Amino acid sequence: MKTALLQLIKHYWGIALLVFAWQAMVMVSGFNEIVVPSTIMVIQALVAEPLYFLHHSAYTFSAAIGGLMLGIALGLLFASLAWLTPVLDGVITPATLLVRSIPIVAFIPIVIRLAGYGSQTILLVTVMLTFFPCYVFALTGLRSPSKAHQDFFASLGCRPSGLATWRFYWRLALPSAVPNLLTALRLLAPTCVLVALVAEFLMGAQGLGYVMVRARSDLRMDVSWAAAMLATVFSVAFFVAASRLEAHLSKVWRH
Amino acid sequence: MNRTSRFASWCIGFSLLIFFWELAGRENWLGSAWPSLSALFAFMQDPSSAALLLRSSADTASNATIGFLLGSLVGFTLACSGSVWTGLGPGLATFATFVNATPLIALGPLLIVTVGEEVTPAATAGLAVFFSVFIATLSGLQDTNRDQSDVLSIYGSGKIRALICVRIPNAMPKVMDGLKLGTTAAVLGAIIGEWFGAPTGLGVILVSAMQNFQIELLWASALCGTVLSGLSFFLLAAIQTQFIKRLV
Amino acid sequence: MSFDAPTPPPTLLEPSPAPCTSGQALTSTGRPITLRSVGKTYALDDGQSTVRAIDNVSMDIAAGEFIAIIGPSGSGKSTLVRMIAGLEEISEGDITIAGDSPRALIAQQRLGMAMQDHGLMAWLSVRQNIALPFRLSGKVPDEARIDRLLQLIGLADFADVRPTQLSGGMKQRVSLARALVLEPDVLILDEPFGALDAVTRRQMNQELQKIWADKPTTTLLVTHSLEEAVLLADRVCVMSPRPGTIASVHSVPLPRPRTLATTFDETFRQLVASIAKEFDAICGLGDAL
Ligand SMILES: Nc1ncnc2c1ncn2[C@@H]1O[C@H](COP(=O)(O)OP(=O)(O)O)[C@@H](O)[C@H]1O
Ligand SMILES: [Mg+2]
Repeated sequence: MKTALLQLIKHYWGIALLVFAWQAMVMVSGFNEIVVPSTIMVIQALVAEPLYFLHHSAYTFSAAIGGLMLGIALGLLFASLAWLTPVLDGVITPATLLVRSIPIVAFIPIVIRLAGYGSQTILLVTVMLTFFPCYVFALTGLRSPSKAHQDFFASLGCRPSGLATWRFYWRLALPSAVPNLLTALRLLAPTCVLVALVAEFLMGAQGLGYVMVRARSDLRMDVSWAAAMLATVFSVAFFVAASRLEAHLSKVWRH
Repeated sequence: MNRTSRFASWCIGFSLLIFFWELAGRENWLGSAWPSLSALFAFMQDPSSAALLLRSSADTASNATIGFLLGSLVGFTLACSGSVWTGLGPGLATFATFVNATPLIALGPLLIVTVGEEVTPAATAGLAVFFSVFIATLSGLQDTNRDQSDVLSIYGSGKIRALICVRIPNAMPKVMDGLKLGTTAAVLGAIIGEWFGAPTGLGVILVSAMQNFQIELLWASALCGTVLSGLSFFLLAAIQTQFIKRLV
Repeated sequence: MSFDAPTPPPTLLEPSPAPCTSGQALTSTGRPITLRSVGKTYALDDGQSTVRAIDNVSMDIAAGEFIAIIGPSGSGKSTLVRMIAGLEEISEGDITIAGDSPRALIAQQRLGMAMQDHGLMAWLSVRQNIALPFRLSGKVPDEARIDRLLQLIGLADFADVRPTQLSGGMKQRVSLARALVLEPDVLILDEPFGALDAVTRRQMNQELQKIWADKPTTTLLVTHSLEEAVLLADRVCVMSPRPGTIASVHSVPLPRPRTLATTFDETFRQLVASIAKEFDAICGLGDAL
């Protein structure tokens, strides 16, 4: 019992410290409780309206996860096409460099203007964000088979061009790309949630990002903080799940 | 593909991009919210709009710079403290995961009441930089290989000396990478922070231009943000090359 | 220097491997290979300089013959067998396998290959790895044959395990089984045991002999170990570097099966010693000056 508690402290002292600092700030600073809600108040706000929070969380995370999956699928599709026809890579790679160097968040207002206020915009932004890194990761993965693997396939008449291209792709190139795709998933998962929240925050219609602004203008700081906390918890859970999946599969994939 | 043909296909890619951008703007393919490149540059050359863009960029840049300096200092120090007091290790790892996945915007509501609306942009920028530097340093410090640690323990050197003599130099490439990512993160963080009620900055004109249909201003300020993060990235990359030259 | 061998060494060759176990009829499977003045020049990346890897190699290999190739690093052993396998363009000269080009052999999926880097697919189980050649040639895997091979390499209990969980020697055995599963007409082994320790290696030599005797086929084994070469082969080719040529060929007049006891045999040791002397001369000339 005592060692378990010690382990818990050892692993989670950072987070415990944050919660403690928060509560201390509320008590010491003398801020009005309406301006700085206490830990208890935030939890009470969550419990008071579970359906409200569930609705908005579902909205945020279906957009973020949906966009991420769509982006990965499209990235893989285009990477496969570029794997087949290197000329295509010459057209996509400059765009990749361009997109990688822009602060995507600054372009969300533009996408909102272009695509309108609605969930399609969130989807579009997350796809835009995830497509290019996924494309790069997937293409690197598709081209990663070792010389030994390629030689073995060639010794049975399977080369990346010609009649057996499909077999080469399906049995070697694609499986080789799996670890890279999972790395992309892990790296992009938190960013997708951030982007979805920002878009909702700016559009002000639905989702946890919207709840954060709306509650603030209603002077319901406890609700605003509850939404922020919920978003954080989900985002962390999403990231941890993606990391676990990656760690597990990369153990299988590597010799 | 050899170098020249790759270069050629990149040139073709870029020209196609610019060509279709201009065409889409002139023909209104994507609606009125997509300006042609020529209209955009004409707008940016106009003295009054240029002055506004410059002033906002300067504000955002100063927020980003303050955040960058503070965030990288704190991130680096905290990560290093983990290898001096090893008991902190597991907790730091959990903390790193948490930090990695926390959406920056979720900290906005907390920051505006604690540090105030005017300081929030610098604070979010600082947090964003802290995230990337902290994680990069932590992973860089873990890179010290077994042989090196063995040598250190054989000669019985203390943890602090080991940190300064071996671990930190070893971690430097990753730390530099983290700092490079941090430059973009700083601009991004500053813009997000400005959305929480700051009086000036690129973030402010981005949102107001979006709401008031000032399409050219909207695009121009996004472009300014890109230039800002691009410049700071290259500045740091240049410092890094200089740094590596010194070491070798 | 080049070696032309239209007259194969007398006793053991054609039809190959000699007295095997219990009157088992040794149908001479595999295809004969002919090399005529084969040369290879690599163009380097800078586009100007070239490397002469193989120079004027001629040789006749009988159907079902087991050939070992030894030589110092960089003497072109891999290049030579890769050309025979059709994985490398032939710069000049001609290689025919039963009258056809090496590419034809590949197209008919009659080639088996195992290399130092075992090249197993990490995402497939041992059984699926061995079945992969069937999949790649669009055939339905012959489960009975796969089971038999699994028995033969002693990994029947590991059929559903992934390669990650196997030791180096086990991986090489799987790689051998994979190379043999289509019962190829030509088997090419490029330093398959190069990464193994000495004890495992001796064990693997016995394994290889067992598997090979089960279905003898034309085999080319590249190795760095003289003992291994003499133990397994009908003929041992010694290559000299810069440019790579066949310096000499030695036939091995030892009866099969050759066991560990064979390695203490006087004939065996004399053969190894005489090849070793020649080998040292080749290396000394290359390195001492
Ligand atoms: N793909 C290649 N490009 C250029 N040179 C090569 C290539 N492959 C092998 N060589 C050169 O050919 C020579 C013979 O190499 P290799 O056949 O691998 O020798 P071995 O297998 O006997 O060690 C070496 O000098 C090597 O540098
Ligand atoms: Mg070799």
